Amino acid sequence: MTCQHRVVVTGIGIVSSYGNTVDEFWNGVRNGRTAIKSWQPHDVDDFPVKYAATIDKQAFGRKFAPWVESHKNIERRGLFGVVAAHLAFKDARLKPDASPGVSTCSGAPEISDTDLAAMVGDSETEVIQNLRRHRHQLTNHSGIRCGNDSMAAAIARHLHADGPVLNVNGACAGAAQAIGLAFQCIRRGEKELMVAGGADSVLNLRTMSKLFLLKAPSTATRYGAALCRPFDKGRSGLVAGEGGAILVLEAQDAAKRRGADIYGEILGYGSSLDAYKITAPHPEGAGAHTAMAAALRDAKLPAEKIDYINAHGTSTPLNDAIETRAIKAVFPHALKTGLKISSTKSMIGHWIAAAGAPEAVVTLLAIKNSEIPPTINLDTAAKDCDLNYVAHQSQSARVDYAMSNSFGFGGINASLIFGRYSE
Amino acid sequence: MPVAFLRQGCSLLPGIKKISEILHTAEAIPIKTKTLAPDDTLGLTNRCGLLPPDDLDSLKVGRIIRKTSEQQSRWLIKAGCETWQRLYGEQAGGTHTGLFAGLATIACDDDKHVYCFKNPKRKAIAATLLRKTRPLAGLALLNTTACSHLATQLQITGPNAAFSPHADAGAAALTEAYFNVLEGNCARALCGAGSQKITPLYFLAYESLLKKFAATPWFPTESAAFIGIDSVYGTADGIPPDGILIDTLRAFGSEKKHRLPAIDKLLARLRVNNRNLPEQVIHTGTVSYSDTLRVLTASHLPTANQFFIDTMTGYTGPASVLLAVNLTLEIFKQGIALDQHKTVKKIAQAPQTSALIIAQGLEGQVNYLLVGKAP
Repeated sequence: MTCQHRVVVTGIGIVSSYGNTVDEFWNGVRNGRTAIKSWQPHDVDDFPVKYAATIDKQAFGRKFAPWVESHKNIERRGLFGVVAAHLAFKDARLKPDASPGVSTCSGAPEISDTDLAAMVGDSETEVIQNLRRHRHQLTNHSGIRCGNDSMAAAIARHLHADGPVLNVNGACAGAAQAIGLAFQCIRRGEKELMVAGGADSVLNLRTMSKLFLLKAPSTATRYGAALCRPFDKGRSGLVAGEGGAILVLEAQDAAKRRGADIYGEILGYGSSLDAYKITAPHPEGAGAHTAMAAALRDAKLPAEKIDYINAHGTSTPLNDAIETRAIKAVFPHALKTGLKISSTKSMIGHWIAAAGAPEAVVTLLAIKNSEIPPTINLDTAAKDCDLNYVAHQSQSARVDYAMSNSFGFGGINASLIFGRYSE
Repeated sequence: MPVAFLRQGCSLLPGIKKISEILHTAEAIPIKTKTLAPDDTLGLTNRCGLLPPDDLDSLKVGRIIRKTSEQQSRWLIKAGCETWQRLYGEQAGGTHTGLFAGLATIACDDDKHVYCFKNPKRKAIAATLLRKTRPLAGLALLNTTACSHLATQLQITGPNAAFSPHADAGAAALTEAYFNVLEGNCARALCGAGSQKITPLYFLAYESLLKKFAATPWFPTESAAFIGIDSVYGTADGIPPDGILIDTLRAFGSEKKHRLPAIDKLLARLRVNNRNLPEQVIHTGTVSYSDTLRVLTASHLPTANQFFIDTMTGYTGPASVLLAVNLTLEIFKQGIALDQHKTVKKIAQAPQTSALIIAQGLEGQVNYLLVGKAP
């Protein structure tokens, strides 16, 4: 393959707990403001998971009322994705006939609690009868039909995409993989314009119960809203968040031709598999190491060039220690030079399948704004977490090259490398 | 110039041991009529092809894989492991091997009890879900457990991607595997896809969508299929490849009226990109407009034989593309061509040099993959 186009990011769209503009989102993370608060499913008061970073349904519904009305056939997180894609397209100042490709991830099928309540019955026969009665609804709600592709298709329809349209499945690395695949697609010359990223929400009874039974989320209460504490010795599990983030990726030539503003450049992508256990990451971080090394190789950059790592940093006891170990293996100088690392999840929670997308946005904005957002709630670093995690407050620093890590459940890993754009 | 060499792998279909049997059975594969709900309360007595449950006993898989894999994943694990064993023996995959998969709808509705509650109030639902859900049921929601298990079993640690949930997902997996091998991200890739597990919920959920789009009668089939893709000609044992992947393209036509133009555009690009046009076309992803599609394809490739694989196998979702590749490689081996009108299959002796696989997703995704005979 001789074609090697440079790939730049020309648009960002975001739907988050902070708001729905790039500025609102950036101000939230750079100021270390937590979006995590007390949470319970509607009409439930004793659910074991007590905190999450949520999007105000009513406010979102009011602001995007026409969207909610015209996209009744997709689940809520799908709507986050469509709105984010629309905002990204607008941010990039693209014309409606630009015909992009789409590469997104939206995770496990989402079934709303209302729909679930409508389906249930006290016997299998009654369940089936309820299902039959609601069969029109089953088609409209992809959570019930157990596909998870409605968001990718809805974005493609909305933006008049002409392909490729990819619905990526990669657990918590899914959105990072979706961005990586879109990047490769443009680099090889298959397409000039792609929208890529993810949207997800696990804040529903079905998914959250299953996550709880997998012992993934923290059920602690002693830290209150400061529960998400990546790399801290008091960390006790992930804290879920929700939202959508979509990036417009463009071949540099095409972006320059139309005079687009450029946030930054994507330089490398690496993915890997732990091949260890479905329920735990490789203890030495072998998969994380492979993904980071592959991304560096792909970007043709030595490790020393990386100024900042946006860590996966989930606040789970296993991930944060293992990610630290893997970073030290790939960046042996990290401890000595104080390589800056931070976890966006400490503020916005874990967007699960979509997590890599807002974190890619933060990484790009850190480069663009020469400011590294903090890891909040990091009061006492754990013994096995001994790097510079930019605790509590953001730091001004020129960032030319930065990496964003996403390491998913089941050992699916992805790393992306972004760079400051210069001709 | 890098080349992606293809090696035929395992194809799981109900009642069939090898893909070559499709060529020589008189009709479609054995499709059973099965009532999917008690007392037929769904009113859905459907034809469907069901694979037998697999406990993975024939494979040396670890306890954790057995304990944590659901049935839909097990078919993928079985087909993937058998393909690997056949092509690469006991070798470990390592970082130079990639894993690319097309996954079907998520098999999270297997336990019907998750919808059975005496009290439909949310508080009671929450309590029941937390009490009755199997502890590892959340793994099914990920839809990627089969990939993780395959990676563990075969020690594949290289680049990877998985897509879902229809025929285009199989095409996307194959396309990404192809590019990863060509671009040197991995030396070889295990590429496969599965089908939906057929349940009452699956039927109910998809009936409207499929009635709108799919051919009538529509019958889903459980399946899984894998192939190997290599950057080198021979395996470690010196076994030559069965074919090469020459070209691949993907497009999207959002509305039904745009799908045929999208395919038209793809076929036009095929003619520009490739000097030697294929003599065989295999269509995957059941469509209601197969006659129009046949005419459109013939307008670009007038001498090509056209075969609609779903009419023989049933709707196998992402697996259909990998089944089509394995079938194509078999056609090359046997030196035959496969034509079809409606559900009648015609076989003629005709040496093939290339075949085009056209895959369509349900939402407007269209893909083609041009497969050539091994040099």
